[in-house]
Amino acid sequence: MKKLIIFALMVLFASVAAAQQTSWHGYVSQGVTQSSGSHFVTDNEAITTELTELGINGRYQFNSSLALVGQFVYLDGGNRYEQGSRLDYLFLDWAVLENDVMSSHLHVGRYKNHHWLYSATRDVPHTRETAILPQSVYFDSFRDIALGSDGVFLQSEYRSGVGQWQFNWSLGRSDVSEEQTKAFLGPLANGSSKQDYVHQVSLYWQPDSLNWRLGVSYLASDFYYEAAPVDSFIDGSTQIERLVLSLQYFSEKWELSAELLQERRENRGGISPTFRQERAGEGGYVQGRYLLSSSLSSLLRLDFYDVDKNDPDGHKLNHATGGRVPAYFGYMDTTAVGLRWDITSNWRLQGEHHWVEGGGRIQGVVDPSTINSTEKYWRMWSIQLMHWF
Amino acid sequence: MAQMDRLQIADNKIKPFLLKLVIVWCTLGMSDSFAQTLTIVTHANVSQTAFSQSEIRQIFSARKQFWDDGSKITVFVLDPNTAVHKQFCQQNLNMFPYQLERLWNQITFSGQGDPPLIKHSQDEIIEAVLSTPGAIGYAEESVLEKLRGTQRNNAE
Repeated sequence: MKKLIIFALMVLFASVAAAQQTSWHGYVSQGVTQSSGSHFVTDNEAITTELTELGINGRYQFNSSLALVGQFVYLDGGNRYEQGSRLDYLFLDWAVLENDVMSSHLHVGRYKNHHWLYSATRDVPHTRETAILPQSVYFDSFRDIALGSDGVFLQSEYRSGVGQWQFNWSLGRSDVSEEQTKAFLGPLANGSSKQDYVHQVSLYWQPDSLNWRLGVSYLASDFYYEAAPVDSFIDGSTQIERLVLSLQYFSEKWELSAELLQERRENRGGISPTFRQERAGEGGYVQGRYLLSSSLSSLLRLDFYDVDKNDPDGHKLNHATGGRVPAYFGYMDTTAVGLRWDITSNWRLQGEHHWVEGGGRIQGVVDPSTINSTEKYWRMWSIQLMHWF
Repeated sequence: MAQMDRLQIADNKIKPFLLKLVIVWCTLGMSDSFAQTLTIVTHANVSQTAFSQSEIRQIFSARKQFWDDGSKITVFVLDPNTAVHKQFCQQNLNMFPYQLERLWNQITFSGQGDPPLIKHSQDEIIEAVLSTPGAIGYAEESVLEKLRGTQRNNAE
């Protein structure tokens, strides 16, 4: 599979270099970052340059209805995710239908997740509001699986008398690396995780004025874990269902974005053959950006997440683990502020500071080292310079 | 004269719409810069000469990327910070420039298409449209009129 991907990328970029019906774009970004009171981004309060994002994409247009597109990225986000290069997407884009009122595109290959507000370009620094997205919805331990998958994606847009409708549907699966398994289950997990499938559907509506955008999306996915011969876990499986409501409002001087999430998770096995746990987490964020001038804007965001909606303060979690896991791992609430300066039309300097209470989105399963390194109240910040072309 | 012959000014459906909106904006107390009428300009090889507002929105928001004959659409716009671009976005696309930019970036970096090309003046847009097959752009009626006048003088 890897050889096939490399070959397809070579064909794509060779075509980009040689042919007329091609285009390419890219971005480069470097930042300085720190997490204090937690190892979420950096270890031991260190201020580091572990905030690097590079990407290059190409599009080869065979004809007006068929194109091959791909993007290759290099990412370093500190402890938030695995450092290194990734094939972000590589798919055939087929314009199935195009007319005055409707258009439909089918993407076959490694497609992008277009179901949430920032999911499609989560790794593209100048398309998102902050370097660290609201963890309630954009949980970094889950990120590589939520970015996109190998399979098919369909997007249809319909322009009616009451506004514009966008329908998205996708079915695929993603590889889960050893690093991602550890990020999700903790460093004691020596086995391997696999995703059976991820099935997503979403619907967005915008009135003709285009100043509102409302959406609803649903995700269903199955994972299983194969334990290693020497492992703290045994074989197990997880079923996840996710419902997200999205809202955006655009005004001349300010904009509002909000997403609300409910996530049902059923774990089987893993700890013991008869272990079964079902819980529903919920959360969301609301953020406002105010345009101070045409090049300067400020941001305020409130983000909250309860690991179990029936245990919002984490007391049951603390009790169930015999006091081993502090109650504040049952939730994570964050207040973030940011400032953005658009130096030119393709250069930007962006800074942000997050005040966090709780550790509910630090890791999928809490392990002793995370407990020791995470205080109830902690902070993180970053300053990032970005350029795109 | 040859240059003017190659310049197609779309006598389009949105023109009366624009005039109507200009009046609305004026009564809302918008600045004088908003009182200019914008006109869609296309390259001579573009056979379409009338556009609905929906089509304009699809083209300039990078949703429609090919003409009906299958040739590629190349879109030229002014820098997003300019008053003319702001007027174009608000009056014709029902968007603020930052909304449009975000849409372009999302489309470009998720593999769905290419963004418009940015020019620094209306003269540059007109020149680029004239020399690029399949191109479309916009300019103020007064700028186009001035160009027509120059061409007439040169012809005489």
